[in-house]
Amino acid sequence: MKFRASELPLTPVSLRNTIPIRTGDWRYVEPFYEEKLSPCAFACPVKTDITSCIALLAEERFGEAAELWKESNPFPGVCGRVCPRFCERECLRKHLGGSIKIHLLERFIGDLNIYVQNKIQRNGKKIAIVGSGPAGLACAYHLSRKGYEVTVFEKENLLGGLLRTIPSYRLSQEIVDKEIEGILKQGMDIEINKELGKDFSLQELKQQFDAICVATGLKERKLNIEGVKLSNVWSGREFLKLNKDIQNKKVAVIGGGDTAVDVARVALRRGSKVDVFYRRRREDMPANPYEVEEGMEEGVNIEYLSEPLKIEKYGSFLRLFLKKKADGNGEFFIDVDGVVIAVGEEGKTVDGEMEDTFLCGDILTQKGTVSHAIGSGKETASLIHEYFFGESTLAVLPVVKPEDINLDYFKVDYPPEEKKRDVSQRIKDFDEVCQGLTKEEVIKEAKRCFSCGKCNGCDNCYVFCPDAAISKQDGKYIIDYDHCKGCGICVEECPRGVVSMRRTEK
Amino acid sequence: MKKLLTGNYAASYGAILSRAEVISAYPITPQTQIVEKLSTMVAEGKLSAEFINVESERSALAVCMGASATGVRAFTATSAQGLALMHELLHWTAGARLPLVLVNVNRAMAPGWTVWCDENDSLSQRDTGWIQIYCESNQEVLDSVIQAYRIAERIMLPVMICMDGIFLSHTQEIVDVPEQEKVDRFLPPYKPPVFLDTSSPHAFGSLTPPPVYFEFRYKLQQAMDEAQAEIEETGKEFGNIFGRNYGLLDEYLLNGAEIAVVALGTVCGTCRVAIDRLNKKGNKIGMLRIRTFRPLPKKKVLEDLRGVKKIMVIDRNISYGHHGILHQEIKSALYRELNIPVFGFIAGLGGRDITPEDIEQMVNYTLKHEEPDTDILWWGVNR
Repeated sequence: MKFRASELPLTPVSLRNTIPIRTGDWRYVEPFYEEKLSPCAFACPVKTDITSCIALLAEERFGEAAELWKESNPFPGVCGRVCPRFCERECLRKHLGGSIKIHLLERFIGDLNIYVQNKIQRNGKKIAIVGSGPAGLACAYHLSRKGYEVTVFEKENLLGGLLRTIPSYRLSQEIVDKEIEGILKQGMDIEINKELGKDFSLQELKQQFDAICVATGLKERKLNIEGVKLSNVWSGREFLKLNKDIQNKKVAVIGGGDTAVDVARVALRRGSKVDVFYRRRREDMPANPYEVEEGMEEGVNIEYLSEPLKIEKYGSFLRLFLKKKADGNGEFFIDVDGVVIAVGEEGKTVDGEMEDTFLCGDILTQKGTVSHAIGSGKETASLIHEYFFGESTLAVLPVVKPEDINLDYFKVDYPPEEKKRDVSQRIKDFDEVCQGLTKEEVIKEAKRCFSCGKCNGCDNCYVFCPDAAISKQDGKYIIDYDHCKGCGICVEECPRGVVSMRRTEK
Repeated sequence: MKKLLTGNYAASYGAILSRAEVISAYPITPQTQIVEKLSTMVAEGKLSAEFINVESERSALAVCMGASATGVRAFTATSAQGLALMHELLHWTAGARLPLVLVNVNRAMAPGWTVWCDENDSLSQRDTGWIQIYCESNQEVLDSVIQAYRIAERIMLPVMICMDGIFLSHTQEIVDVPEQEKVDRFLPPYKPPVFLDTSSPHAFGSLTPPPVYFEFRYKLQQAMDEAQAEIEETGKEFGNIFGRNYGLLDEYLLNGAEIAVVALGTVCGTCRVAIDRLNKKGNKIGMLRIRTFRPLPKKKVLEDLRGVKKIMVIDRNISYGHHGILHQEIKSALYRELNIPVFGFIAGLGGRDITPEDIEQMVNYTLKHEEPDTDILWWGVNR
């Protein structure tokens, strides 16, 4: 064969195009698009699709973000304020400027006060929910949105359960009112001043309803020491409801949970001097660490490794005897005007198993946070739905791992400063300590999100594919497996772990 | 607009005005400011180009090759070891006939470690199939980058613009920065005859067995031959628009000269000063600056040197085991055409200054000798 130079192209190039050559046959592994659960969503007790909501916030689509959030959690305003932020602990942004301030984004979403519509047809199933705390209301909310006819029974005259005991400097009660209003708008009946075991029994409910969900929470744990029955010795919840008697006094709080810290900070605001006695170390405290920090900023003194022994009355004051665990037999006492016992919760209120009866919230999980209660309510609603209709709505997705993220695509970027009222001002009243973000700050913060496991159309896979085997159709990426050689570059270059690899079936 | 520019910034402005669409380069002293300037311009949105960060010079050239293959204008810049690291792809770029422009800031090769100038880095790449143009001033650097794209895209060969490190790269001169509109008229958008198109993909650079490989090499040499006329025409056309003429070579007082100094790069500027001084004393010295080293315009070199009695070549480079690289090139051009003694000086390696006095003394040596005493006339080396 002979070729004249003048007949040849400039450079060696195939005469025909290479589309018919199926280089995909060389492949033994292949990439595929697989959206994953972000570590924050995985850590979230409510399993909210945090990344998708943040993506909407970044695009200033606030209304859609709020609707999506409320598809999962009807209490963003509450959780944005009181959740211990399990999500932020897992955020993969952590070491590149700091975790996304998800709680502040959630708070912003809550404060938008957007009610989601519930247009679903009723399915004829009647459910009774006992208890209107966060678990009961969340369960009612989700069931109503699935078409159930829901009736909520509450022993108090106000809905909200434990949410009503959270001091307003942490959680403004207006927020609670508004979010509960949003839940009621989904459509449900309410029976207040109706207490289980007093005004009605489960047996009675069973006759009127297709299923019952019990969400009555836990009882306060009692402390078995001498003197707990003396006057001016209160339980945490009693104290928080109290409005008198302890102005400008000296108060001792026993316990290390949220209630103990709440009591301490409330007492402080009423002008008292407060000491908290906890039997273990700071890192063991079940209280929300942010609340502990704020309380300490305000002047709450916490004595660790201090176990209460007894309380005795000494004239006009009480003497609380304690033992320092670290010192072996270091017994000591403190003279105070009041002692508050806030040592957690315990006990089930429902015994035995009953058909068509479900549990949710602390009574079931004993996790003790509002977020866990809401998550439990949501999960129980799904279980009830599955019980009647066999449809499981709890999806199982793989979770993004740190090594799935390509950090080359992200720069160090810092979150906005947390805005708190000055200590000297905030201890004088019960107004909220923490402030929210402005619209601009929200957008900026949302843009810091890696969007772990959620494709945001960055085009990296499309651009980097050396075989041009990835194309775009209607905003989605399509892999041409006839030409994909399975090199894995798209997997590597995806900044957020959306592209996965699997063995090719031959 | 007149600006006070270093050679590095002049090169950057050349790339900007040429509307380079993809830029990829790895920083290396003394070229770094080119990368800085261009990446900053891109980051600030003042230059609409993709600046692609890479981990090595080899990757930088690979990126530019890929970009060029898709039919866009690509630019890179490097120096010394960086250019050496690109070596394999220098061959590939020319063989694939990709019209890239690369600015090489001439720096001596290590070891010993150095950031100062000589031309061994680019001259030792002379056989890779790249057009090589050596500049004498910062103005010429800017102008040559713009011309380079036009030459490259018409001939379909890559062009290397060389400037002496430190001497040009790091010193400022008044440079006339042409208006974009005029540059656009001179340099229309690149329309490649063949390019990599994902909607109709072809295999490039595939296996070329003996019945065809040879012909591709013949075509490459043909392109080099054609480049001579193209470089001249481009230089003239550039002069028409911008008022500054450029050619293959640059002659200074060669008419009637008895001794011709042949050199490339910044030493030529020094030569002009020395020659003026010498000629005032009644000497007849001229200079031939080799602006275009590849393709070497042999016929023009012969024409320019016909009539001189002695030729002295000043090489800021060396081909170890032989002598100065330009020295070889000039001697080969003369073969069987002109029988003139050639004095081969090697001076200024690794950035050592070559002063006007040095050149005057080299000329005095040449005047005094019929033939050089040695094959290499080492100038200024402390033996």
